[in-house]
Amino acid sequence: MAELKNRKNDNTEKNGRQGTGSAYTVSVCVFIILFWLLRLIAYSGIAEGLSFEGIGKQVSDGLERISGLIRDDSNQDSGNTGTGEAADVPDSDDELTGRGDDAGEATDEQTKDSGDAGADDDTDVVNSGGEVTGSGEDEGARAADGEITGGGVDAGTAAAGDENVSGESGAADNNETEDPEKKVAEFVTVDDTYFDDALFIGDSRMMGVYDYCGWENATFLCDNGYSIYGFGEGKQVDCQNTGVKTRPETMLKENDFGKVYLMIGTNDCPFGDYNAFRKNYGYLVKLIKYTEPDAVIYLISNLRMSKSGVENNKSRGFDNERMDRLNEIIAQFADDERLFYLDINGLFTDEEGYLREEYTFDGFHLYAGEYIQIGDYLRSHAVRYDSPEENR
Amino acid sequence: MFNDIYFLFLFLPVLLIVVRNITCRLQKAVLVTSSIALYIVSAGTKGLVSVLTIAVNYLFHLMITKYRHKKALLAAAVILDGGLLAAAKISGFMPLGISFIIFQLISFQIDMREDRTGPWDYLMITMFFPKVIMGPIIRARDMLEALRRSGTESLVRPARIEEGLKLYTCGLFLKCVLADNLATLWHSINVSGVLGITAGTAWLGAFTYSLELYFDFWGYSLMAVAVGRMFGFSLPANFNEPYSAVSVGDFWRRWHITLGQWFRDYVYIPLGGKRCGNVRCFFNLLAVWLLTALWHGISVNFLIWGLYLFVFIALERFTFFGEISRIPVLRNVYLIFVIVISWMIFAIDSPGELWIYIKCLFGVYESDASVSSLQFMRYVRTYWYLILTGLVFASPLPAYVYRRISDKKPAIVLFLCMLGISVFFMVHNSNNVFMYYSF
Repeated sequence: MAELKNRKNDNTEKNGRQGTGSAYTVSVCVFIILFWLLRLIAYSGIAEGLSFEGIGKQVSDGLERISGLIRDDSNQDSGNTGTGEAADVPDSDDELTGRGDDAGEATDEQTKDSGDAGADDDTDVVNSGGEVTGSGEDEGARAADGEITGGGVDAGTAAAGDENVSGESGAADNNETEDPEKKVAEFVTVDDTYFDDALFIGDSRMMGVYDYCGWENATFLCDNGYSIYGFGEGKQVDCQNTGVKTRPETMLKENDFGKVYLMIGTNDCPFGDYNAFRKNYGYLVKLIKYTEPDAVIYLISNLRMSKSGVENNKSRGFDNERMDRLNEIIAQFADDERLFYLDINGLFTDEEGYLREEYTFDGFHLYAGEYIQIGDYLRSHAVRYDSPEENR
Repeated sequence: MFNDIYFLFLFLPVLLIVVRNITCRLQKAVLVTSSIALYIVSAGTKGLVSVLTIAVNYLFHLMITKYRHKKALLAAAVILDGGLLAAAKISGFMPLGISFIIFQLISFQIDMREDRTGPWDYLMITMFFPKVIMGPIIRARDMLEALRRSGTESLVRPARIEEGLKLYTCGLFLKCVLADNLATLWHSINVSGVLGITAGTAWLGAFTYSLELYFDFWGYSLMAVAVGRMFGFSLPANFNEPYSAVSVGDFWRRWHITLGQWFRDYVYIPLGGKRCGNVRCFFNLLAVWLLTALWHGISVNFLIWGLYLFVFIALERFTFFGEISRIPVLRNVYLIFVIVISWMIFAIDSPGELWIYIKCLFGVYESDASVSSLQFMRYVRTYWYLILTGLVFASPLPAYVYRRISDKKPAIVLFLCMLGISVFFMVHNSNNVFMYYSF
């Protein structure tokens, strides 16, 4: 093509200003001036919508939408379900801090408190595999055999340097930890038919689960880049099975699911707004509990990144410390009866807590073969109730 | 560089304004200075090695043109440059664009062994910013005439800017809209690994990679020609509708044309070309393709890639395979099949993974992972419009349309739309470097 252009250029030059003259040059000059003006406006903060505060407001608007939907449902369903008070969204930092929780905007002091709490909880840990105790979470190296500790299940060895996920965290502790009659759920190993009525919600890593775990019988609502922020602002997501875009609330209202798996949050790392994340994640959990009162909900941890992944993406706001904070917040929603936190990081991390380089191409995502491990893990960490009522 | 906002919206317009308004005698100096500055900014401290190499080569040029032992000095310069390139490839210490710079230097030393060139002209030929990083590799004499004129007339003229901007817009569109967006599919395949794909996805990946590489490199080359044009130089084209070729040999005469011409002029013909019988010609071709492979990188996959292409080119040259180019449709199917697989060998640097990928292409690999049968359809749903657009742009149609409409005023709207979309993606995908930057 370029050769042809050169021949034509020569003719144009010889004949002087023919054809378009300098019209395109002038248009491009105007384009460039407009571009710099817009950029100047964007960076000067004149356009509030482009600032961080603007994003926060958008999230709030999204939350209002979801909360309205839940309120409507709760009015209709409260007589049936009796679960009106089990919503469990931590409402404020103060409330969390008052429970010695280290999530959200916790200060150093708060984190320290949490660590102490976690240490105390060690004594409560029941080490029998697959038994849910509702007590605090243990920290450090531990076998992956379904040990459920205070709303969290560690897979393999916990990453060195991981902050403890507070055992008393989550609103579940409000009404569960003191209950001596608390039911003890056991993880069992299930076959693939278990996932017939399962809904998986997540981001690109959940798409990996869809692609490589062989659960086409389940429903997958996931997309590249999907985030809790995206959920908050009402972003539509691909239903992988059908290719139709929809929102979680629509999918949940229009279908009945017995199990819901969440693996979402990685793409919220850059926002760094833990309060917004907690609220939005809480609304998603609340939404599921109201629309699927019989469902078991599994909250899967977000994968930590590899060392090179951190190095290459830290400037974009992705790092393992942020990921840990988000995972801590997620773990707080577990109540060990209907909501189970599954920490899968131990399956894939090295002794320093990084995702092993040999498992990943880009530092974030697992190679296809590694998703098999997630599949096996989820099969062996399933809760099966005899009747739906037991879920309540 | 060309797909950088600051280059397009700041460096280039400012430089055009400056060169347009200074006295003619200073034009070369300004262009050389800005070229070196831009190269150092892009290449970092590693770029100093390139600058030093260029300086040492100028000393050789002065000696070659001054002393009687031209051949010995020329051989020393070529060996030095070749050795430096080999060392860079082996060590992995690769200053930006070093492969192109070294080949440009060798070309210059051989072409200008009889004619002393002034330092400004020399630096323009070797370091002119549109071509220094990824070519095209030029013949020194192609630039000399314009360089001589630069002392007495302005290089930058409105008609040249107008034409250059239109070409630049086309190149930017190819890179930022087509190549960068097609790249995400190949990236997805890399992310899941070769174990995670079905035969359908493997073919889809191979096709999109073939298109991506083409639009990436063609887009760059078009922008290089465009910027050269804006400053009054006619840089050679690197591509001539390669996917419309009728044989593998024909493809390589249309793909990365200036590199092919370099090997033809400085390796193949000096070795005797095809004039010394079939056996000699066979080995000359083998030498050319082994060197082409090594130029791209010292790794097993490039070696396999070079040999693979050599086999088909030799078959076409010496056997009945050459007759395929006379049969319509079959020749296109044959070419696309051979070339698409060659790009997979080019792209996958691990022989083990390459073997698995090839088996995936032919549906004879069973992965441990239960790859969803719907994965392929998801990729089709996501990329069908890009692939369709890519196929259109890989055909002769765009060049034909450009010839017909580029001088018409309504076409300005089309160019502005292309520019707007390109800039959107340029800002959106700000981290996508050109694929040939690594050579």
